[in-house]
Amino acid sequence: MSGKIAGRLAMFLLGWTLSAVAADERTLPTEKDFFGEMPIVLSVSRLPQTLDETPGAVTIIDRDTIRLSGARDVPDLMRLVPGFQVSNSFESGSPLAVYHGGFGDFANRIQVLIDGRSVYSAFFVGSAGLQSIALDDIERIEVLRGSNSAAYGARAFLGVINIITRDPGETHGVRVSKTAGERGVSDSLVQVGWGSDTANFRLSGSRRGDDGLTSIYGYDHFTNVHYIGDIDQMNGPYGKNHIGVFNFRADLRPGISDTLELRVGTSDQYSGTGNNFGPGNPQRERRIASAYVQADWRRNLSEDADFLATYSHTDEAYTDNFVYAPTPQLIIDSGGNASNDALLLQHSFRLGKDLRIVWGGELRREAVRSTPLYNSPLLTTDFTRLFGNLEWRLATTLLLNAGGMLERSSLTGSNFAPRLMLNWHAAPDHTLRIGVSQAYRPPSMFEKEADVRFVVNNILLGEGYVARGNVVPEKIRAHEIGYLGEIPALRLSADVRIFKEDIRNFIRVLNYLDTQPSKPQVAKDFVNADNFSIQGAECQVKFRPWRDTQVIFNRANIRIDSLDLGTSTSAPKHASTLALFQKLPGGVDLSVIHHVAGAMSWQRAGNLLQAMDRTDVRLAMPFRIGATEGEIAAVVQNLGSPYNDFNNTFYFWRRAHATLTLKF
Amino acid sequence: MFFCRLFWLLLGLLLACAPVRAAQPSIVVVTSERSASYDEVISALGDKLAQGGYSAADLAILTPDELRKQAGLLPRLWIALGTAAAQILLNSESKAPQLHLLQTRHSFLQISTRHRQYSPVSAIFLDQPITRQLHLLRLAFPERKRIGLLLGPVSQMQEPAFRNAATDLGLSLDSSLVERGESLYPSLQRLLDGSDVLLAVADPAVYNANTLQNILLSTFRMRVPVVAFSPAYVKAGALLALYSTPAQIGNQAGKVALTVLQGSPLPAPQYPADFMVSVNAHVTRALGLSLNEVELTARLRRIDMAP
Repeated sequence: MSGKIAGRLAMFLLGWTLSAVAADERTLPTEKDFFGEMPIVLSVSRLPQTLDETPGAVTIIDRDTIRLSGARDVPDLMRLVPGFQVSNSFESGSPLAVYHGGFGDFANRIQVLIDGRSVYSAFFVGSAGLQSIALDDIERIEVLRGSNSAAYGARAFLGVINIITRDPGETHGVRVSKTAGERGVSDSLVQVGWGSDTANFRLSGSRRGDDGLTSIYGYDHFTNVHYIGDIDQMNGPYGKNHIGVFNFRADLRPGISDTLELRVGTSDQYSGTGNNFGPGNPQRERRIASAYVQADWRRNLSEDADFLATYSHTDEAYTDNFVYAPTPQLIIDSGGNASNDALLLQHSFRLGKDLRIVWGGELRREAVRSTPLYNSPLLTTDFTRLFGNLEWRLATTLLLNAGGMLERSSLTGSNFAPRLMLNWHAAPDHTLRIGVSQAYRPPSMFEKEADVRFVVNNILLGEGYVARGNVVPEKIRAHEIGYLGEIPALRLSADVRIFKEDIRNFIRVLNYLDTQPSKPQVAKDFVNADNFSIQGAECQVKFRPWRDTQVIFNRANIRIDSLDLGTSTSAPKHASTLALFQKLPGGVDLSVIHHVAGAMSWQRAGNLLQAMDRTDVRLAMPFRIGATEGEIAAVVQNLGSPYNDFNNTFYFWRRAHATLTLKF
Repeated sequence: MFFCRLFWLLLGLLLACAPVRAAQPSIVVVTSERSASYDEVISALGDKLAQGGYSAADLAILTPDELRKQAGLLPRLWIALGTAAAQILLNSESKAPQLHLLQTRHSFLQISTRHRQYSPVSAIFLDQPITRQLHLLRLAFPERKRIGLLLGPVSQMQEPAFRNAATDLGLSLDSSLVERGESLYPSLQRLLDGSDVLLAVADPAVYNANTLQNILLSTFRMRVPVVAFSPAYVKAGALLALYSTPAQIGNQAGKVALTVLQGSPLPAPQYPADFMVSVNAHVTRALGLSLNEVELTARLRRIDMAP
């Protein structure tokens, strides 16, 4: 069925390219070239706010930085963003990248968008979306540091990772790359782009995989020695993983004021989990599969106004089950399916030269089908969102951003998230920013409706998560003061953010005795358990002392004043990154990235990770054979000794790998 | 009521027939089209002639179709508006001098040399002199010395002239040719890697409504300002444009026409004397620049006037 649709789509798109035949190239210019109307390209919604006028702190990771970093996936890149916590572990499904606190196994307080489509999982595997894109397809990543619900909804509670893919007009030709190295590292990419002036296409298929983290699960009682486990001997975290990703994008221009962007993609992640120390969590492989379609239609209404309509549909399937060894009739399953449909309409316009307004609405339906997790065949949640932001230039040096989002969820009711931010250009190249925002994060489907019971022959053997549904939305009120400065003579730029984020009704897991069954059972529930503040400061400095040298430094000091040990250690007190990108003679690129972070935990009291440091080094040489451009790169991730990641028994060992890239 | 309408209708008919009965006009303007830009040229031309004491009856305005139907016109000066009109006039056997407007210098030279000429022909070009364009770049971006030109099969012939002028002004110039039938992007990418500013040169094979999106998006992404040749480009998202308005050209043509009517020979083909600079304020801000179109125009005029 879907194959037939894909076939028709391909025929349609092929027809489009053939019809877009270029005009006669020999034509002399006429007065029409001077007087003719032109499409509005850098329209009101396409012209981004400059960094010193955005209502919040933003870190941009561009294509060059992605390439030079030696990163293999998006979470790797987030170490370059102050205030982020990153794990490479697949233990909870997918590697995590969170801002201001790894409050649990899933990153459910940060929104992830790829070309405007939320890849937040309606199921409970929060960060899987970060793996659904090949790094080579990315133009840049804009990380909005700080609560951004006023513009991006409840899930942007603490921040947003906004991934923008490359314009298919810029990726014509064939690009292939292959990476191989230690610890099973094996990545490959094929990217094919083609098109004309009015229609451009890109198809990219990629695979990445490695053996995952290593562990010291092994403990020899006779010699009293911890030993480094070997995943082949099945005594480590069974973290072997491989991910296949396919993405297609078509940008079409049906008329002078219209653009139509179509996207289709799939991602298929297999990862190992569990251990061989007990029957409750044996070693096994899980699968997270997803597929989506997305259509964006942008119509330019005038020089000062345009309109965007976006529709997307995403399907997900999660497979994870095992036989509980002591009771072989019992199969512990946490699998299921989820889907979501989203329709967004957005109108952007200017009123005079001092006022820019964006407003719109979104309808979103999320459906989850998982009898093992919800004891119900189908649960749906409908979201209705109305949003607006007004950017008002009060004076040449003063800009006010006032925005808000009204969000209604059929599961938890309505709430309103406002934001006010004032940017003051105190002097040329020096901007001060002050603002306040408030937002709510309604409990997720799982936090509100989980119902996991282990039943064999109608006998209840035990319970897992059985939510009582009393949980109410978490609330955040964030205050921030920011500074953004540039010293052009020194080619230096700095960004400082001082923040206080007060969280109320924080949702946490709590064990309780479920007395409903005839034989009471210990079950887990989500409750509003805590009020606390996240306070601190972070800075980011970019320095380009010479043309071929770039230095990036960032540091974050974060204090979470919760009485709960797991919560208060959810972010390290100090973390910093120093990156050096140096162009050497012969076009050789040298990158050195050093990252240090204090002790932290992923919301696991008693599972504190030691302070870590990690150094990544990359050396790459470009070459050319005839018309073929290429690059050969050698990367070592974590040059030094292994460090703790995700769990205090998991370690990230040195990984050296080499990449060959060819472009025809 | 009915008679009232009939009266106005008859009066209208009478007036419409009036030019046919009028004496030979001194100037016949053949316009490729009747649309806003052409009408602005005609209106400014008419104003200038009126200042010289000529009346509306001295000026006839015809489209190519209307010209074909009207044989036996013997004006003292022909004015062609646009390429289509120019080609028709070049094929006519009238001995009266011709002034061509709304053509680029390159198009004028190409078209006028292709035809057998029965009469003196001159022009006021539509494009701007190269040194004026380069002076604007120096004024607007004193720090940006590397100029990129994206050229097509037609505009590449102007490359040596741009190169010489750039050398004279201490600027470096890099150009990239969009091959026939090839996608524009690789050439653009190659060019932008080594350019601080992109100077657009009219060539429909390179700059047209279909390619503009790629060009403006790519340059904006790489933070390379685009300096174009028409205000429509500034509206679309180019940072700057240097151009002459139809009124400015009509006014200059009026001055030339007056000298010809007074018996002087047709002057040599010339560039437009007056011009405008347009700035896209939103793009200026987004690129972190600071430009003022009034000030730029004034400063560029001062340079232009200097001997």
